[in-house]
Order: sequence, then C-alpha cells, then structure tokens
Amino acid sequence: MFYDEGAVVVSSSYAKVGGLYDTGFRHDPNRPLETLAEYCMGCYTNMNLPQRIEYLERSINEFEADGFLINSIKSCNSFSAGQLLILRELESRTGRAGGFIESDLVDPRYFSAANIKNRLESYFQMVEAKRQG
Amino acid sequence: MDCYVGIDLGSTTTKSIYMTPDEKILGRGITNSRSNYALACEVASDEAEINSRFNLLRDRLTSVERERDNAEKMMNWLECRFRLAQHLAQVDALEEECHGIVKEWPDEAVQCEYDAALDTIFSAMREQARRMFQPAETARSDFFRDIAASHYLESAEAIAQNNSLSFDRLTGIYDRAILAVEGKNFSSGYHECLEFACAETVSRAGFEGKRGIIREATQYAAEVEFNVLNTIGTGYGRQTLPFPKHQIRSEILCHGLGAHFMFPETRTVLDIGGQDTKAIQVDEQGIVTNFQMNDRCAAGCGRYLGYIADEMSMGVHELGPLALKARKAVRINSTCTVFAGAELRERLAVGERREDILAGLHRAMILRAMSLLARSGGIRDQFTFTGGVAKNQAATLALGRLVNENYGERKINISPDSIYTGALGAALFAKRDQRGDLVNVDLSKLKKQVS
Repeated sequence: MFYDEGAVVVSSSYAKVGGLYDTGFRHDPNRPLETLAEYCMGCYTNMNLPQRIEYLERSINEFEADGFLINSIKSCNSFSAGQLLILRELESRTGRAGGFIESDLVDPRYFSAANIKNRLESYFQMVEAKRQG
Repeated sequence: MDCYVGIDLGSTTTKSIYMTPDEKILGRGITNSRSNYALACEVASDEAEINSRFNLLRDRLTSVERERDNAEKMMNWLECRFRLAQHLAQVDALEEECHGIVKEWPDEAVQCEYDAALDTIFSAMREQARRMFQPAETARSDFFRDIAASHYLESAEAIAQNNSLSFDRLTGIYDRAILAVEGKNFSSGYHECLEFACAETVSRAGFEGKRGIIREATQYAAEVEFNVLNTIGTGYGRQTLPFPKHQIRSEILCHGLGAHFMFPETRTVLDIGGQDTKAIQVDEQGIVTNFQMNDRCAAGCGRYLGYIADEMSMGVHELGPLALKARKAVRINSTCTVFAGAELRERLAVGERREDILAGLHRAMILRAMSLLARSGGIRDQFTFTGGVAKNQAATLALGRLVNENYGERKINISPDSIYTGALGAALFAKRDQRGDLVNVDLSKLKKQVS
C-alpha cells in the first residue's frame, strides 16, 4: 500500500523496542549487569510519554518526514497506550500530518485490509493536499 | 454546457453531482447501490443529468411564465409524471420477468393460476403508481425496489388469501424478478419519459393554454449537451471502478471539501454513512487536517439502523419520527448490530416502550460517533453533520444534546442535501484537478471493463 502511493518509511519507533542504539547507547563489557539495566530502562517501551514524544519529534525533524503514522496494536498495551495523546502533541509540535490505523500483530480478527487501505489512502491524499496548500 | 462530475459510490446508495465550471450545482442523482457498483454509478450519473435538465427546464419555465406559482405547478407535474414514466417502465420489466419465471414451472394449470394473479397484482401496482406520483404525495423511498416491493406484497397478500395461492411463492417470484430488473438502467430514456410527462401535463385542467410554453421549455432542456470536463469517483466502492488512480479520491477528503463548500465556516465534520462513521477536521480551505474512522466493525453506522428497523418490522425512515415521541431514553449498552438486536428484544420483553428504546438506540449510536470525534481532535465551531443518518431527526437531536453537554455551544450545520456531500467534494476535486482521462466518459462501457 505504501509502494502504491509512492510513500517511503524513513524511520520507525518499532525498531527501538530493542534499544536506542542510535542515540549512542552501548553495552559496556566491564559493567555488564549495569548496562543491561540501563538498556532495559532506555528502550522505547520503557520511556514515559514525554520522553517518547521528544524522541519521535527528534526523529521526524531529523529525517525531514512529511508526516507520521501510528499503528495501534490491539494486543500490545505497552506500545499503544497514550498514542492519541502522542499524535496530538506531535502534530502541534511539528506541524506534520499524523495518521492512525488499527490492527494487530497476531490476531487476524483485528485486521481489515479494506479498512486499512482506505485510511492509508485518505492519509496519503491528506498529506499531499497539505503539501499543495 | 461544460460541467464536472463527482460520483460517490456508497455502500447503500450511489450519488452523483453535475457542477458548472463556476462551481454551481447543476443537478443531483441518487440510486441504491445494489450489488453492481458500475451500474449504480451509471444510473446515479444519468439521474444527475436528468436532474440538471429539470433544473434548466425550471429556470426556462420560470423565465417565460409570468405567474411564478403556475410555473412551479407545471414543474411539479412534469417531474412527477416523468418519475411515473420511469417507474412504469420498470413495472413493465418486472412483470415480464415475473411471468418468465412462472413459465419455467412444469404444471400448466398452476402456471395459469399464478399468471392471472400476477396480472391482477401488476394492474393494481400501475394504479397505485399513478396515484403516488402526484405533486402532493410523498414517497417513503425514492428507489423502485422499495416502492415496488411495498406495492407488490400488499396486493400479493390479498390475492393469496382470496384465491388460496401461496404468498411465499408469490414473494419468491418477486425476489427473483427484482434482481433482473435492478440489473438494468432505466434512467437513460430521458426523451421518452419526458414525452410522456409532457403529454400528461398539458392534458391537465389549467394547463391547456400552456402547451406551447411547456413544449418550448422542455425542448430547450432536452437539447442541452453536457460536455464533461472531468470526473472524480469516491466512496466505499471506488476501488471497483476502472478509473485511473488520479481520478479517485478518498471519501474523507471529499466529505471534508463538500462540507466546506456547503458551510464555509466548517472546521469539524461528522459523516455517518451505511458502513462507516468518519470524524474529520478541516482547515479554512476545506483541506483535511485530521480524521478518525471506525475500525473494521461497522457498529453504530447506518446499517445498524436498517437492522433495527428490520427487527421492528418498520421502514428505516420511520425510526427517527417514532424515537422523537420518547418520554425517556432507555439505556442501550451495545451499538453492535448483532447484540443490539438481542438487547432490543430483551427491553421489549421487560415492557419498555418502543419509542423509549429507539431514543436509547439513537443515543448509543451517537455516543460512539462522539468517541471518534474526540479522537480526531474534538468538535470545533462550526460543526457539520453529513451522510444518510443526518436525515434522521432523532439522531440529530441526540447529537445536539451530546455536543452541548461535552463541548458547549457549537453551531451544527445539517443540509437537506447532506447525503450528496461526498459527491459534491468529488465534483470540486474534478474541477481542481483537470488531468481527467474520463472526459465525456461513457459509463455504460465501464460495466464491461469491471466484469
């Protein structure tokens, strides 16, 4: 669906569940347990909402993204909690268009291809319309 | 005459708008979507063209007839009799299909009995139609399928009782035949229907001296050629049309722009259609800045009302007026189409009044929409309510109350033509983006491409 619309994902917070190495964090073999604890505390899902917002805002600006898309995962509360709040705050801070889709990683009952396609198309057309002013 | 066309292929109805280059609406067309989107698109477009011609005819008659009231009366008769001609053409086709089905039966004696019954039924249907398509009468539905079903079943029930025929068998004939009739376009015979409408109107008392004026005006409107500069398709079924990608727009963008066109101060739009509910935020240009829509579950959408109407053996148009007679709103916990049916029966069983239950159902439906509105960024002034459900007065009443409770005073806009909002937005996009490959598109050819 992204390919059809000519859209490219330049950055994703989902890959940061495994740790924020891009911000400079490294494990220290001399302090293995301490840095493991720091790693766990610093990964995306263990951030509080203001920290997540700041991290996402930085990403959006660094990658000069046209917008950002949030996929609400029904069965992942740690990732999905507060997403609408994050969306509003990011919109107001960056001025970029936020999109919102809902599905699930494992449960096909929560996935509707037509519904997601409709929302994505609407979202990309909205971004385009905004871009044209 | 140059024009732009917007088509909104909804899950329940398909709408079309013809618009002039200076953004004046020429005409509107609507039909039920049936199971064939390409045909529905063709019919809606033809209906919009017919409506455009009638609007031109109205302007012409008003300009040549000194008495404005008289021009309006002539127009009313012309329109009603035009609709009658369209209706009768479909009744003829339906009768032919019904007799064709009976002809397939093995027993000739049974065939004769049912053929005779059908003759009586269709004769009664034609009489009912002639009474119905008059200026003072209002139909419960605009669609042939609904009107014909109501008339056919009414006569069939009486005949089955009086002649010991099977009502179920007569119903079965109708159910098969209507599918075949709905597979054809009866909106393309403008000239034949107009000829009939003219003849019927000029023969009416009071219009004898107006024959020349009516003939001249109808001829003028019939001869106008529409030069379609661009067409844009939108709506639930838009993917099924072989329109190039740049001639398809999301209905969210179209509803936003359409609502902005009707009410320029609009900042928040709620659209409740047959299968989905959309909460849309727009800027001062009508460009969408944010939206939320229901996930895959269509609870609380127009179809929910249709299901409740079926459960209560009522027409969907009757729900709102009945709910307005409520003395209280019974608490309904679910807007799930399946659970609500069970809850409805449970409430009836414990003795709640139908009016009060319906008021509760409408409130439950709007509560769900309120949650989507909150997620999209709340309700800003002005707030425009669109889609088929905006015609339901009980839904608009519940919406007004909940908006006031949660957001304070907001100006709520509801247009009588709100059902055309998506098609209107599509027509505006057609004007703004003139890369159209569908210039002067022959929609009848789309059917072949789709199949």
